[in-house]
Amino acid sequence: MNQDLEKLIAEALTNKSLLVVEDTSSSRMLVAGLLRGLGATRVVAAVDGVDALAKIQAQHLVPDVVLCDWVMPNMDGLELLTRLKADYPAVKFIMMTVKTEAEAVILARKHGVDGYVAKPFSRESITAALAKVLGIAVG
Amino acid sequence: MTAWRQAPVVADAVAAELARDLDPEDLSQILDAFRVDIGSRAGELAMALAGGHVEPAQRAVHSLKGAALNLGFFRLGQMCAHLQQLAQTGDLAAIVVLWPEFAATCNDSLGRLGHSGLAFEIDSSIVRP
Ligand SMILES: [Mg+2]
Repeated sequence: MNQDLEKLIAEALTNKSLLVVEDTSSSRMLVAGLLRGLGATRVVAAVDGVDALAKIQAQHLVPDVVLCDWVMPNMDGLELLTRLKADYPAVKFIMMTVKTEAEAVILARKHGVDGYVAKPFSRESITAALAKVLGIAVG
Repeated sequence: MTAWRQAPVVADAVAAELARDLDPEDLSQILDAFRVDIGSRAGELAMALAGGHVEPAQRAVHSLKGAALNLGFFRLGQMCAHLQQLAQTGDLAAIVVLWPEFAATCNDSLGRLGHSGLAFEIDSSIVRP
């Protein structure tokens, strides 16, 4: 991985708050751990869309970047995307998904998704998605 | 159809990557959580099969697939991908037939997590091929 890019990401992440939304605990912890490894210091985790909205309201803290699973019980990623973009249009929303089918991508784009991370996750793919939504030029 | 059988229980390359990219304490907590995920998702699948419920069966294998592939547990992840396809077509009977192999694959994965001997006796008794 491009070390300059990782340095820029680390700098950009120091004053950003991130929200990870994923129903499977090991995957949720993995993403949070990878984000911390990239330099994020403020990472909140939620188990589904309902939990995510509750945490945003309870902490009065609108995240700068949301990394969200697509398939979740109670409230899925697409609904959370729609609600967040309606209330907080500045939030950058990254969908983490195996749904790379054209139809799903078009649907998410229509709802304002800012980036994708395809499963399985890696430091590289998360770095690339963060660079995109944070406006950091790659290479 | 049975490509998962050729897949490694754990891909060394992914394990090495995770060890490089994560704080050791984070990694050990993540693997602990994965151990719990295997048990709970397998339990959910067993319940779904016993009740003939397609939707929760599909959710359980979808979730476990993602968790396993993320951590390089390719055999389990690929088998779950296959089971998910079966669930999508509503063919729970085919999943029941594969249950013993699924349970064995879960146990192989648990073994690699240092938790061998955690069998699925209870859940297996729910699932009657
Ligand atoms: Mg999920």
